[in-house]
Amino acid sequence: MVKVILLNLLRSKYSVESENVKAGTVDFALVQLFARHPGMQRQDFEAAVLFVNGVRLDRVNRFQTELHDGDEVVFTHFVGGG
Amino acid sequence: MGIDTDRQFEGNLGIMTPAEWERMSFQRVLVVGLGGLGGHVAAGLARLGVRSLVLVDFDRFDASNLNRQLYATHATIGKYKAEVLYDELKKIRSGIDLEVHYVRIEDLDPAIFDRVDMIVDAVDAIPTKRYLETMATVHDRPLLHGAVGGWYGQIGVLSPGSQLLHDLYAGADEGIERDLGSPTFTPAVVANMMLAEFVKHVLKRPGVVLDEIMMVDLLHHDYRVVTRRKR
Repeated sequence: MVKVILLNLLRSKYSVESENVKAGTVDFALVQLFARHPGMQRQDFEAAVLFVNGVRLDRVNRFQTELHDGDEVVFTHFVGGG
Repeated sequence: MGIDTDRQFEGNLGIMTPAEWERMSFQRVLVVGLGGLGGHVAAGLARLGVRSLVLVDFDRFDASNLNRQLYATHATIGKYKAEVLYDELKKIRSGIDLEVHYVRIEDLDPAIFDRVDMIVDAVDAIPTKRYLETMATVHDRPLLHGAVGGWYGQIGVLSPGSQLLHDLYAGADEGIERDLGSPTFTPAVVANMMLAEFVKHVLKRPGVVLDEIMMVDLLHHDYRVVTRRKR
């Protein structure tokens, strides 16, 4: 299984901290997530920063990234205020 | 101005030996940005006992700072933040060595980075955060990073060579603070977490958020390292 973690804005908006989903791609992980939480909007995830096992993925084609059992995926946002 | 006493730092000696305090106190720290984070960080460094600070902020206090910035008062609106901090920190410790600059850090001679032991990123501009990460590498200094927005914050001590901020912010110029603002409590909490990391880093304590970035969520009290340390 793959652990998908929502932080900051996404966690606040959807009241979901984490879900375990089947391995595949990031996109497949989102499909499973949205099936369980029909109110979730894909655009919110497209606007988020994505880490897989602690490494930030570039925006290009990141949803096609393959995920394996044991991987940890974090969707979050950065802040830049001082 | 008050008179410094031998007792004023004794409250810190429960978590460090007198020799460790002495070592910490001789750190020379550059604090860039003296707003919500930087005001608390600079005051905290003085109260920890750090003897020498370089303070940089081009900005002046205005009314929108009153909700969160430590030394923003109706009496200080319109004054340079660095000027106000100079006066206030001298009230905490009259003998503290302070060098203040009322300009953008990018406009200062980069040699300033060679004259400090640590750089504090307390700025509110992402391009400047990337600049500080680059300067920390070029001048071989650790960077204490902090950032806030809404209920959320980030902290981490970054070693020279770090690309974490460049990676995290990529080409962005602003984050969710644009919409969420900066409430009264978040900068104070995050600034004091930065101070804890400063002490842990200088005294080589375990548990320092080193070459990682911890995301802070005060709404859910979730504190989580999201980046993986490169080994």
